[in-house]
Amino acid sequence: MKKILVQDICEYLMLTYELSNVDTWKVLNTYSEVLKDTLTQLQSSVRNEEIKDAELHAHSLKGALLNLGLENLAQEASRLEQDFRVRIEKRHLLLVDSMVDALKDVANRSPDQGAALL
Amino acid sequence: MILFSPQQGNQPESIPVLQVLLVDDDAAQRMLLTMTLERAGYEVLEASNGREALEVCRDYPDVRMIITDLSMPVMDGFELIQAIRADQVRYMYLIVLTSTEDKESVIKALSLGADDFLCKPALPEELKLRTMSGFRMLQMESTEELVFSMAKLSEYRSEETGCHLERVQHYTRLLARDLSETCPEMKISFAQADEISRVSPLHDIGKVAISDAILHKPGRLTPDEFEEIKKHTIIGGELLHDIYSKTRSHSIKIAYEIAKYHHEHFNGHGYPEGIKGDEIPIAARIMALADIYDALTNKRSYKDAMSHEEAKEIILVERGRQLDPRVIDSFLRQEDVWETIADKFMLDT
Repeated sequence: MKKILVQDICEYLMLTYELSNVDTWKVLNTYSEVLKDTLTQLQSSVRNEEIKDAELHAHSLKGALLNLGLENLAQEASRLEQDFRVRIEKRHLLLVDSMVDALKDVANRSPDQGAALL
Repeated sequence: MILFSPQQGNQPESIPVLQVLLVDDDAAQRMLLTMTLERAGYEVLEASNGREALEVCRDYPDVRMIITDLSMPVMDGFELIQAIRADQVRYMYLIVLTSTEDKESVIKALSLGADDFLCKPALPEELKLRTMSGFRMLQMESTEELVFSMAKLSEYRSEETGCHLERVQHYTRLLARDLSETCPEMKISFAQADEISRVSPLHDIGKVAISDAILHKPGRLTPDEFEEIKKHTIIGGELLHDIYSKTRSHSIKIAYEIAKYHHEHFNGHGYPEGIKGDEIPIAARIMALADIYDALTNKRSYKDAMSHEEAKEIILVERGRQLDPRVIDSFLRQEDVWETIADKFMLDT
């Protein structure tokens, strides 16, 4: 899965939502928090085979990714959400892990990083 | 007073800003939408689930629009829609946020009473247009509420009994629904039939401009006084047409047709324009019979109430003269129900 760059998301947010630098920074900071929490919860629910929670977290992840313009990843999240309505399989954990890896820079950035990028 | 356009630039402090309540458990999503809506001039209130949203609605009674996610903890969007629709005093415009492929949820939300939906990601231009369209709908509704209040006020000035408006609503509904089924050439849909009934109380709204001396005169009117009272059709028509031209509300258009033309005669001998037959809008032809029947079967300062049979006899004489024969046939098909309604509201009065 291709690694997502913070700079690309910043550009997308500014262009699509007509955001100022300051607002882009604020939104990015909030999304970093949201993504970090959601991915952690998703990983945990998949590991523990909590099917309902896994579906809910996949759904939340899908929404966040769509807003950030990450359509391919959002499609992956959508497939996970649909799969979790039926069952959790081993391959799902691998898929979630690779999503975590792809989003690592965005989810694990410190709030100050945004200012430097902008 | 609430203005129904987003605040632009520097507005005086006294003009309230339109409020939108945003409900989503995703803080980042709320932030993005809030930024867009605030830039469009709206004041945005936020809630992270349905239960919080209901509390905000209680604390901010001027909120008329909610944009809500569907999947949320504590109380989801579907439950919120149901709670709002079950308990609303004023109409709340509801937009749901959904993902593109989730058609089932959209259909469920709309069937529960949502007005519109937005697919994620909710882009600024679409969000602005959808909210503007929602507030336009609310403006129409507020205008109609105001007009109906005026109709009720005009009834207080009139000599007709307190339940006149309610009775004509029942009569017009019976006629319009029956004609929608039995006379396809009239092209009245079932929804239009109910709309005719809903706006029928506005038929005499022009009487607000007629002097008490004429409106409440016991006994017969002089020819000049009669000319004066005839003006209520033109005044009512102008008033409603003016509102229609601003709102383009279909209901107000029907109300205009009723107010202006309900004294036209099928044979062309009525007023204000002397039009005849199918030139007279069907809503007005329906109203004419309902109004006449109600006038005949109720007491006035210059006459006693007639029985159903006596009123029916007079109505039959007017077949093809004052009244449309097909509308009279519809009345005859369900005259027992009319009699029951007349009796019921007589007792209630």
